[in-house]
Amino acid sequence: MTQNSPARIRVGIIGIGRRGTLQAALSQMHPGAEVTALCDSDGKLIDFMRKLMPDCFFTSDADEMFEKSRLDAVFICTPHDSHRPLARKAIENNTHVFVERPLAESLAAGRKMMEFAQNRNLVHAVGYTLPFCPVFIEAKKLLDNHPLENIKRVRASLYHSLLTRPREGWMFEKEKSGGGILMHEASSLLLLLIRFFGPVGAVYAKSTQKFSHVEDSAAIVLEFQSGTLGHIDASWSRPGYPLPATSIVVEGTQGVMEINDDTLKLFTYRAAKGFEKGWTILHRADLPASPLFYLGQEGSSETNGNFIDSCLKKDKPLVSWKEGLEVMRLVEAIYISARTQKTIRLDEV
Amino acid sequence: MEGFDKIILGSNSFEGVGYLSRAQTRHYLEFFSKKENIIPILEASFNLGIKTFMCANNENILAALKDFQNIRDLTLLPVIPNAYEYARESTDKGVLGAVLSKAKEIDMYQKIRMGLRALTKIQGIISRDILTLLDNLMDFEMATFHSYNIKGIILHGQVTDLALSSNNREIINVYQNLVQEKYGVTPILATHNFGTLLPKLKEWKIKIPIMASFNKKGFMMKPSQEVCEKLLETTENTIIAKKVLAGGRLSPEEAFPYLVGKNIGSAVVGVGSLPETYHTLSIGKTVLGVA
Repeated sequence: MTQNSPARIRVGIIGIGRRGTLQAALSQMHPGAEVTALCDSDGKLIDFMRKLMPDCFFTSDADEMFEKSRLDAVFICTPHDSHRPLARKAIENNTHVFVERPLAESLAAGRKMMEFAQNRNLVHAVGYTLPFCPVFIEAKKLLDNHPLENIKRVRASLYHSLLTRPREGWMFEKEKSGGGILMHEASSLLLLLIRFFGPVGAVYAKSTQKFSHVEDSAAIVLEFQSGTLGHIDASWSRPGYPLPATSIVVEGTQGVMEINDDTLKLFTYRAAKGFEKGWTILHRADLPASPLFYLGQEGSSETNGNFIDSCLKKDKPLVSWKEGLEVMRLVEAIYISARTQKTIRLDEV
Repeated sequence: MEGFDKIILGSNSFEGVGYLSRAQTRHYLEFFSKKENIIPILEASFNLGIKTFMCANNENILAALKDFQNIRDLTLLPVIPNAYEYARESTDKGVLGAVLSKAKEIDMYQKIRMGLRALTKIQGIISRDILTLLDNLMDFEMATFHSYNIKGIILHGQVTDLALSSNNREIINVYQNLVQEKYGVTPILATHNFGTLLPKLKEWKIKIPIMASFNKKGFMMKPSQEVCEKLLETTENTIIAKKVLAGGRLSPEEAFPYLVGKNIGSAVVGVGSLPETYHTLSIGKTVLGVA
């Protein structure tokens, strides 16, 4: 913590649905934060939550929250199309901002957000949890050590049993959410792939709709700027996956790495860089875990904690809007490709 | 009311919850979607002398219990609410929305079995306060268990920890009173954050059983294995250990000796197959000295 940093930051939450409630609880349990204000457009929900947290300021008006609460930081946990206007209010009120994933409902909206944030000494983050999960943290460390040498090919998938019948709501309305599985869930996998293998050069994609007005599955071929070829398959309509299941298989000139939410398996063709020839297997239960209060899903506490720590230290968080925007650019390219059935170069998006 | 069996059979695998891999989770979901695959495990466990079963109101488990021949001699510890199911169902409307959806989707047979009173009460859930909500939720969840032997009711860890985060003693108090007075059984708090919950309960002067992770690897012991073990030494709350096998990363031979000599009253153990049932529970009985 710097000399001028507060010991605890005052936190506000906008949107107290599932993710907002989680961020409120985790922030409350973080030693460097206290939740002082909550905002939601649903008056009944406000009344309900007021009884749970009687010491907080409650309102259905975000302007009033910023005006009356003297916040240091705010978590925006609302439908994607409201991220931009709410983030702008936060920045205008000199408040650090966390937005739940994805950054916004469109690349254009995300770019606007970056413009607001430019030249302001404020912390901004996007709520991607996968980079904070123990197996993916370990995978990043190992990949940075290049045990596979030249990575030639990556095959990744994300499956979830979220949508197995027609569903309604803002999540499934393109105008409000920006899209389907790519925006809501697969953007986490895309972020992880960019972190692991660097920027993407070009994409070709197809998507399908089964149960809603947005895409329920997508098949993507991408080429990283490094020349690595990638295949991605994503669906939120697959039975048997009560939790999102992420899998990445990496093939290099010196071996193969299989990474999923629970296990990391490295196979090297010869002994190198501290690894014996053959299999090295690491399980989630064997990896170091953070001491933070646990609630929600794996990585939730650490994502929340990383933002709060960054606010206290005025540091860049692990996933800032810059990384969030890069994901949005890739998602946009995938949508254009799926629509036009053409290969899309990222530098043209 | 307290005094639980030393070994309690857990139901995570029957609900499709696994910690080793998503492939294991898929296998559990597929395999235990048939009550015929749950019943032999309940029987084997019962015949080994494990006569307490911790479970949620999962459809497949309830079907298996209905046909389990020794049900009269089996003691249940229901976990409420069935958070996994609500979490699976919840999207943009949140968990409360999922509760409402579930209430709407239940078929007429189930409505009759659960009692229409409980179901009617759940419909108005959002307009009620938290205390009424808890009462209604408990009615709703417990309706499915009304014909069985119940010794305690476990508040799901996500709910306990949410209450803990809001520093709200009243929720825990109300839960405790409801379970004791309305159902006449022991309230139990499950948690993923033993190191935070226990000091808070001490401050609130609430002495009820806690179910928390305790294992040799320190898996899911928050904030750390060291802190949890230190608190365990002196607590007067009854402790039920969960995740004893560290989500499948410890063999029973490695796992059970860790519990010996510790201030732990019972251990909940989940199994995923018949051979695993005989192996795990036999070792557990021997090491923990269960007759």
